[in-house]
Amino acid sequence: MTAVAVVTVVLAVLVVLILAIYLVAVIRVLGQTSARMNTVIDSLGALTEKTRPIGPAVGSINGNLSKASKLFSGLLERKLGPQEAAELVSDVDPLVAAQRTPPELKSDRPSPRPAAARVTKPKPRRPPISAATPDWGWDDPER
Amino acid sequence: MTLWWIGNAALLFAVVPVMVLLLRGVLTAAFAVRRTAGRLAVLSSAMVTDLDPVSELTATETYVRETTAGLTRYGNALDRLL
Repeated sequence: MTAVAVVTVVLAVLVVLILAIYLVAVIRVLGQTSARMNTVIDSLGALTEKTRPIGPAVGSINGNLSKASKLFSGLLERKLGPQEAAELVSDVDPLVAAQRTPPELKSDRPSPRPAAARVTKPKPRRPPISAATPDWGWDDPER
Repeated sequence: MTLWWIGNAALLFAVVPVMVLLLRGVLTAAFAVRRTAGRLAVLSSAMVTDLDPVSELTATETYVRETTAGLTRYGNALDRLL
């Protein structure tokens, strides 16, 4: 065999070796990547399982809260009238007050009356609850 | 014979470096993908841990239902009292 043929064979072996080394490295890295992606997929499955009850639970909570809110709003409107009930709600809830205020009236000027003063303002035209409550005798120590 | 030597030289000084360059690029990309997948795995595990309290939502739902029932009774009683 001539020298040139030997050099060719050596070069061919070198090429095959380089290819093999790099491809084995790539295979190993891709195998590790696949394992990590499996971890991600498992985590996503757990995530889906854990977030499943959120929708129905939040819907139920919202439904219950809306029911209670409607009940008390209706009660307030029936007892005080729509105008006064809305004023009372806006007195205790700054968000509702901000919504009820027309845009042209919104300014940086301070409110002439603080909200707390309006909330604590007595409403003399209605009798107190105790006046309508029958005496059950709960405060009587003899009973 | 001269052409054969020229062919060998081209294989050694052109084909092998280009091949090494390309394979090195593939390996670098594979390492980057592995690193990203590792970060994703850590992040998704942390997300699963963060969502542990979601199971408490069923208890919250029960409490809200009970509270609403109590408020309804309270409202009805208040309605009768006032």
